[in-house]
Amino acid sequence: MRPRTPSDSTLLASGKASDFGAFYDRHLGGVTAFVGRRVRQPEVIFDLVAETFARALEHRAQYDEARGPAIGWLIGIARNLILDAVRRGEVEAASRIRLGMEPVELEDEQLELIAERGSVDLRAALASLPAEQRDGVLRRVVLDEDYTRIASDLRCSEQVVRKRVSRGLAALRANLGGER
Amino acid sequence: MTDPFVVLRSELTAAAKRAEVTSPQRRWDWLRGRSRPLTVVIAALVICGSATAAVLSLTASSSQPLAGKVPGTIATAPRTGIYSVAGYRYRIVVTPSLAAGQAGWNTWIQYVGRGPQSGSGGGGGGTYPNASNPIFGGTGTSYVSFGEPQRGDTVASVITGPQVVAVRIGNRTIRTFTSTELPAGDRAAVFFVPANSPQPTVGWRPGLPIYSYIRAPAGPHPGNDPNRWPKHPTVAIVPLDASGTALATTFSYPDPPFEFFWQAPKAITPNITEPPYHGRTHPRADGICQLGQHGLPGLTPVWGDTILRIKPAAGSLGELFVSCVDAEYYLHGWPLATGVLVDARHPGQVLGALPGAHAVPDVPDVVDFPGAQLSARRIGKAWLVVKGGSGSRQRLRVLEALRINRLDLRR
Repeated sequence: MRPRTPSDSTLLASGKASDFGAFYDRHLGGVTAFVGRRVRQPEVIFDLVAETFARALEHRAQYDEARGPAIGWLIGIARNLILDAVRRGEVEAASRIRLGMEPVELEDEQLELIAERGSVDLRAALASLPAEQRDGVLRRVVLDEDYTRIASDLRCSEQVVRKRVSRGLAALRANLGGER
Repeated sequence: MTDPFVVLRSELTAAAKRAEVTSPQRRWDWLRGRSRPLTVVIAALVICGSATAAVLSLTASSSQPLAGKVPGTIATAPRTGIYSVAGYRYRIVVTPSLAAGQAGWNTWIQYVGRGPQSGSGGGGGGTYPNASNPIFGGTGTSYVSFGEPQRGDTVASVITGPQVVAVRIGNRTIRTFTSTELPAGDRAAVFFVPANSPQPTVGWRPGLPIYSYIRAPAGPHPGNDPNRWPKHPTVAIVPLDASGTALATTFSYPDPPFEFFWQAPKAITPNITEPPYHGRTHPRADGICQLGQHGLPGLTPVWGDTILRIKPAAGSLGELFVSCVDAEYYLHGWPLATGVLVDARHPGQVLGALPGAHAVPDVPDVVDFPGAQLSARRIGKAWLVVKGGSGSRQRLRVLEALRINRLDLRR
């Protein structure tokens, strides 16, 4: 029997470093692709991704599965950080500092690698999903609509919508190089 | 070549590991200190019950004011690598969050003096007090890594909900106070932190020790094993109610709102050159609030956020505002942040005063708070706020030019 993959909620709630590592592996591709679509400079992309996960680590106790998938939560954090970076002229580092994380020095080859990761086309990945999954992901994760409302519009049960969103996100993760 | 994301993963898991091995207290970067031997006996003086209530009235000392002077004198020839704010004048400022949908208060400290530390420093921000979050803000020194030499006292403060009458830091108990420069109902305590003191932390709750430690890397080659990093002692800041009972903290950030970001095609984006932005270039037309402008050439909107609904902040204590729209403008090279504040608990209710702001003579319904670089006009049941810019005069000109074209709080 195939072992059951732990949910994001389980990984965040366990408090174990290895579980947060698994959570990072699972969502790194999605977050990097999201940030990479908005920011061109690879060192800025890296800092934004780093601060996004640092903030997620600090606030992991606040993640509530019932409010939506973890990738939506992470993207919300990343969006705020991007906006903040544009306003301040620099990427916030407060969470990394509070966590005592060391700055990562980046060499040219590493910058190229980051640029490559950040250039993954999220739109193309979304387009590759079946229409019902794509619509579910867009409405739930991007537009932040309630499951109830989506289900009502589509005249199906909430469970069906949840399943479509869940499958869509799993496929997206796979497309973006994350964990299957 | 090492994959930088693998390095990042290692840093994150090391940080998570530290959280496993150290006390799960939250450390605020604005309160810091260096290690010194701790007396274990003092650690046993855990806040509890009525005994503390009696001691509180006898031993609690007054807070420092929101604006004052740090003891000592400014070093005329500061030594490189030594942090000191001795002799500087300080001012702690609390301003409402202008980010659309994000109810909360931001706190800042400004140091004024002829020296390298002059300027503003950040603090805790963006949250508000409720029953489980008695301390919701604070300010202090800017972050300096552990082990860096420090001279003299630094300034620290906590901004608390109405239920907190004092805070205990080690063997010191300091009374909180209200002020017209704080949100109505909320309180503050300001205190000096001597060099080499334990690192004060917030987030105490029953079961956690008053004195603990945090491991942090030191030196150029700290290694990857957190268990080998030096220990830095910490001391919990414990909020106390009127009876002297310690108030537990179950810190909970508000859910992030969902705002619709827009950015003008020619937006100024320092440090992020030519962003490949393909998103919305104008505010959504169906936002609950909409800003307009009239008669000030050169006033250019560059980015902002629209929200489609306000989720009332249930359970909050003290005055609380939330902005129903935000936008950043530029005028003659100066950035100005704007927002429209409404009551966060009961949107549509008449708002109270803006902390620290005073009426502008001969300009009806307009207030100004130069120390916070903030001006505002009361329009119906909202405050139209302008923050930043070159000064009060420019902000007032921008306020005159801005309009609230829509304020629909029924959604």
